[in-house]
Amino acid sequence: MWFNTGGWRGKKRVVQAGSRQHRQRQIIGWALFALVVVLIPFLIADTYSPTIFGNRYTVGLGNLSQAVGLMVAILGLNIATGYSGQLSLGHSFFVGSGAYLTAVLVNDFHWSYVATLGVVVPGLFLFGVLFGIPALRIQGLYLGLLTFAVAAVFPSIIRLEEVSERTGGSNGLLIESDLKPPTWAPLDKVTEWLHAIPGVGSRVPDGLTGRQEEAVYKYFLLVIVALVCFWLVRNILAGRVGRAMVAIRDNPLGAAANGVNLAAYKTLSFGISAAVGGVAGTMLAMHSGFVGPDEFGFSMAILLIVGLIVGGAGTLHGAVAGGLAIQFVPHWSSQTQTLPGTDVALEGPYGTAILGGLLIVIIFALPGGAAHGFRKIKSRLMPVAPRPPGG
Amino acid sequence: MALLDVAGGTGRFGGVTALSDLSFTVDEGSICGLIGPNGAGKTTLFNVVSRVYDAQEGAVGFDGTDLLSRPAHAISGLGIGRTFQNLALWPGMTVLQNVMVGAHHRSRIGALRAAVRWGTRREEAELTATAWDALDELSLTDVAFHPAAGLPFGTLKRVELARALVARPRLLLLDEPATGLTQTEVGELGALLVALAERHSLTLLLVEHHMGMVMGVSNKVVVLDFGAKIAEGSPAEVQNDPAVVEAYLGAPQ
Repeated sequence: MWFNTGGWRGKKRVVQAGSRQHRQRQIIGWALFALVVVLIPFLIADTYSPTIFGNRYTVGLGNLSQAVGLMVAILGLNIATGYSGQLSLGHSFFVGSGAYLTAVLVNDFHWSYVATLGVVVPGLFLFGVLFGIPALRIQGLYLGLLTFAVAAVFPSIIRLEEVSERTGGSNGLLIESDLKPPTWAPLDKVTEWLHAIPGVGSRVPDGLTGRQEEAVYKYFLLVIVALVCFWLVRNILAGRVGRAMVAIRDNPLGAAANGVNLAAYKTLSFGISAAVGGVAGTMLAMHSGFVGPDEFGFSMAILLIVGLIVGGAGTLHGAVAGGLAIQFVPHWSSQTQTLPGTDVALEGPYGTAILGGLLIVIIFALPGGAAHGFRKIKSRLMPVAPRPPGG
Repeated sequence: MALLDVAGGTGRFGGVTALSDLSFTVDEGSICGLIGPNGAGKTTLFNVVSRVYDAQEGAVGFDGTDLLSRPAHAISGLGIGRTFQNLALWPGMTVLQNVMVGAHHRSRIGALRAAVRWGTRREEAELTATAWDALDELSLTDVAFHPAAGLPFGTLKRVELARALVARPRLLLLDEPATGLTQTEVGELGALLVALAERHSLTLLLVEHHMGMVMGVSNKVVVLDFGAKIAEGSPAEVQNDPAVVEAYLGAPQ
């Protein structure tokens, strides 16, 4: 056997992939995940705000919903950049386009949010394919520069006089549709049930206010959209198409010699990447009910790249970790008002400095991103032996 | 009958003529050795046949198809496989996944069908089984789930061979398959190649510096020097050709 069965690791039971124990383990894992996803919105419906070393930090449901949108944005970026190796610094362009497309369709044409996905997904896919065509000729840093220019130009396009009547120009757009929880959704009842849970039950508020109900409802909508996106993308990347993309990234010569059409797969990866980015835009518009031009500028493009790297490029879990990181790390950095543990007040743009410092630490401590570290720990604690076909 | 027909192939790169007016044929079912000193243009020829490089002049025919009019990614589907001198594997993928990519042109499921898992389970199972057979044939199943990165060079050479085999080629271009092997292993590899060619009805075009192996397995040997053919014939003929002796050892004083 090639895998290590000796030493202290050998004492852990190595479970064979696809065996009953392995399946049980997976089911337990997913059940825990589902439990956390369902419980969390109720636990932080009243914004959770611990004081740590003299600084007050907040964890609100709004932040979390925003993070879910950002996870999908990073998921999209991951396809072109993480998997196919096409450096894209212009992903915010797709996210912004998706958000504005949704906003205009909801406001001017009275579509429902979810229905706008029917336009956003194919529209942004085509956009991405067009975007991918120059990527056939240029690579690496030059491609990065080109895509970065596209990202930088997005706010100006939104402000153009010709379109500003629809886009709201610099003022942005308030989206008229309210996402109200349907009357059949027993969100209030759920809080009562949750009180019965020992330990965490006391954190659940007695009944939800109208706004909290709305926030919880939106959160669940966003989580469902995100789960669908992750499922679809996982399916695409798990098989032949995903292998072809990684093959192009790691050795284009070998890929071509094995029948992979480089041009087709590169444009395809940009298309899918943009379509998923567009969905993320729709989600962010759903979440905040507002779109503004500067939200989707190059700072978002960079932040998404940061999320991709911190989370782990080329992994799906990385998108989840990255989305949480780029939402909460800047948020908490700016809430650090005094030097932790002292009364010394921090003045100036300390938030950014803390964010930068944390990034450096993360990159050194977890090369390959959070997902890589997570995978390593998991394979240590719960080793799974792959199963040969027919075996 | 000639399966591969190189006629007047000429390739220039900047001021260098890497191939000059090269013509030879490889018969179906034969093993053709391609030898010559370093820099003679052997790998360049491989790259022209697999469409990595363009030939400025001449024609390359494969079973009646004009190869030079086809893009690089179509070559594998036409039935030409290749291995690389310095490996062109994907380090992050497992050995099994590497080999599965070899069957890319024989599988069909695109992004749309994959997204909703329409038929993917079956195709993946088929690909896995095909790849596993090839790994088994080359005694590589022990490392199937190991990432390609970190395995010994000789093993990776065999992984490339397995990857080329799952594409079910008719013509296989092998670029120095014996590099990094011990003398005994070279002998085993020669026997293996002959057996593989027999079993899979392969035609082999073999670039190799181990003369013992080339002369042992080849039906025909083509000798290149400075991009031009200097000799062609059976191993015995080539070995006694004065031009070949000169190219390898220098002219007698």
